[in-house]
Order: sequence, then C-alpha cells, then structure tokens
Amino acid sequence: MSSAGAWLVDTEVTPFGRHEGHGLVACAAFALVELLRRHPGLDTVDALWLGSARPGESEGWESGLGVAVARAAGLAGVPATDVHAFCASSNVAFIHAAEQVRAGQADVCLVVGVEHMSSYARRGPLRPPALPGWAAEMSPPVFYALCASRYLADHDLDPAVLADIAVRNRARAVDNPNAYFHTAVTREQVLGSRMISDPLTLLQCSAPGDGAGAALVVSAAGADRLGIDPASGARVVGLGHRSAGDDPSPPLTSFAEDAHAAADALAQAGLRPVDLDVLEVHDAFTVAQAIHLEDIGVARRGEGWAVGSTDGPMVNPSGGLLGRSHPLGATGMAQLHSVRRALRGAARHAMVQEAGGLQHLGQMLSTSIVLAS
Amino acid sequence: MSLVRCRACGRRSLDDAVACPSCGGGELEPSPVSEPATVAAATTLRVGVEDGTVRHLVVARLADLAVLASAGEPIALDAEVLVEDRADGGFHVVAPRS
Repeated sequence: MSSAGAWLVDTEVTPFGRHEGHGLVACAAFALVELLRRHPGLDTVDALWLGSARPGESEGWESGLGVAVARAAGLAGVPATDVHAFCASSNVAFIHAAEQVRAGQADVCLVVGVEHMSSYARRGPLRPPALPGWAAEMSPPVFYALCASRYLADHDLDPAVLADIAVRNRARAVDNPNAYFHTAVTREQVLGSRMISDPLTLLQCSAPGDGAGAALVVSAAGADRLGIDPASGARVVGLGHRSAGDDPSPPLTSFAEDAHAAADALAQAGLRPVDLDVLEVHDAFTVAQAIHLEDIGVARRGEGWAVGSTDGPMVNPSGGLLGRSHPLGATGMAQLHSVRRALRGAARHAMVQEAGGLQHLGQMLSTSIVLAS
Repeated sequence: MSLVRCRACGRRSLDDAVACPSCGGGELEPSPVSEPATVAAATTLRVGVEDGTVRHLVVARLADLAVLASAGEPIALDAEVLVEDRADGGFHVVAPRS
C-alpha cells in the first residue's frame, strides 16, 4: 500500500451522441487538447492511460490507440497504455493511473476514455466475435432483464419502480450539456416504449453513443510542477477493482464482485456508505442502478430503486448512462467529471462505480472509485 | 456450450473451463444434462433475434449450478422444469414437470 496521495485535479468531456466524421483518435484528442490548453505545463506527462472497450471493432485499433491519441494531441513520446475492460475501461485506466501516482512511480498522469459506437462493424449487443453463438443470447439486455425479473419477484415490486429510475436520470440529463438526451420522460412513456426483453423497455436501456473524456491525476509534486493547488481538485482516497468469483449459481440480484470492490474502496478511505453524498453508478439498465446501489451499501436489499428519489445521496446527477448515452470506454470519464464537479460544490465524498464484462450468469468486472474533497 | 465434470472432485462447470474451479484438476469429461431445475429468472427477448421472432430465455438452477436455457414458451419464475442439452449447443427447457 502506498502512502503518497493522488488528486484528480481536472476533467474534460466531449458531448456524447453521434459524431460522424470524427473517429476514436479525434474524439479522444479533443478531450485531451482541452486539458492541455488549460494546463500549459502538461507538455511533460509521465504516463497516459487510455480506456476503450472495442476500438478494434470500430476502427481496427486492436492495440496502439493510446499512442495514436497521444500523438494527435501533441504528446508524442509519452508512455501510453491501452485498457480494454468493457464498460469499465476508463475506470480501470483511471485506477491504474491513480495507483501509479500513489505508488510514487509518476507525478502527472493523463487518462482518456473513448468509444465510437457509430462505427462498430456490426450492429447489436456487446459481444466479442470470438465468443460462440450461445453468448449472443446472453447479451447485456437479456442478462439485466433476467436480473430484473428476479429482482421484482423477490421484493414484490411493480415494474414501475424501475421505470422511475429512467425518469429521474433522464430528468437530470436535461441540464447536462454533454448528455445525448435533453428531454425528460414520464413513467408512462418509459413503460410504454418498445419492449426489449421483458420487463425492460427501450427507455430502460442506455443508448449507444460516441464520445470521449479525459482526466488529470497528479501527486503533490505533480501539482506543484503544474502550478495547481491540489486542494482545488478531489483527493483519490479509495480504489476498488474486483472480478467475479466462481459462484456456480449467482443470485442475479447482487454481484459479489461489486460489493467487494466498493468495500475495498470505502475501507481505504475510512468511509461508510452512509458518508457518500454523490454516486455515479452503472445504470446501463434501470435494474442495474438499483442492484449496484444495494451492493455498495447505500440501500437495503430491495430498496436500491428508491435511492435518489427523496432524501439521501444524489445518484447520477449528470443523467447517468440512461441520460448521457453509453459510449462504453468514455462513460467512466463522464462519471469522474460529474463527481469532480459535485465535490467542488457542497458534496464531501463521492463515488464512481462502473461495472463491465461478460454478463454470463453474472461474470462481471467491477470497479469502484471513491473520491473525497 | 455444455457441462463438464471434474474426474477428481466431481464438480461440474461450463465447458469453457480448462481446469476445475474447485480443485484445479485438469481432467474434465463431458457431463450431459437431463435433469430437473428451478427457473430462477425468465425473460422474452423481442429484438435482435435472427429469425425475427421472440426468444424465451430462463436461468435454470440445477442442483449444483445455474445455466442459461432457451424455452419454447414463456416460463413462470420458480417453475420446476426439465433441462436438457441443446443439439446446437447450450441448454433447453424441454418440459415443465408436473
């Protein structure tokens, strides 16, 4: 365990949506260049970490995208590393960068997350071409629909409680200039939209998108080098990263790896779930938000759907994946951008949680990051 | 996709395993499925199905593990069913048990 600190001192996000004519390199470089413009000292960066889920699928970048993005942004020569971890790609990239800083191996790191789903070679759910045919049936919508069927039955809930998650997140996206969707929706519209996989309707599923985001994480020495007051940013006080174990019969209404990652991050920070003021969590599908909030510990089992509807922590203030859209590798950066802004306001402690992976009976890659002002 | 059984400890797992998740044994033999199960979750996929129809899918809990299985019709949660291997891979709920 390192003793050095790491601070998230700046973030930048491009608008999410469709960016025809601007591919992966351009989208990612746009976000980075904006950070470079704000921090002229960034001509000496120790490392660049890039997160992208499927750059090979979209433009053939099976590897080397980080190097190309660095060059496009004027950072040729900076050691660049690509991270591919499905929806959690840029969260995992950020964890590596923050750990590198905390370990004293770097003082100034850039993280960029990018996805360009408009240019995926094949339409359809996230599925690596190498997987066999059965995997097509266990696509993310099917996996979360199965979870939702069990969740609603176990807790004797009406499907409307899940629809209300989409209503709240879409309402919060209205004021986010980088979100794809700027229109609020009603419960009736959510429930009446096209059924994708029972009980999840279209408006309960996050939309694919294009976009990028970037983050600047530094040590105290790095902040000094850049002339930044680290207190102006958010201190990274806890990191968690777990993958699924080998439970042969997972419960479908909780993910052990999710709970463990959150517990790791909270323990590092010396915080309890009740201390969290703001959470950006993985609402790729409405039921996912409910389950993740319960796994993190901010709600009892069967009550995660209600968190954020009344008192308690703010959940997905930037609109979540349901409101922003979900360019997989960029989503983590948008979440960090949101919590950094919240921590500059009244929030004291905030968490980013993102889960990704092959939803094959619950085999997920789960990450959690806690930030404190 | 089918099941394999560890010759050393008897644990079953999906056939993408190259070592037993329990004991690490590397001798895994095919383990055909034809047994009762309980439906833990169920959905009907209505988009993206290749033949343009719908696909009924369930998570079926066997005695020792859960599998994704297709079904010919919607199946209620907690229903007792019979699960068998599908000829083209995967599993299928062939008949509710009376």
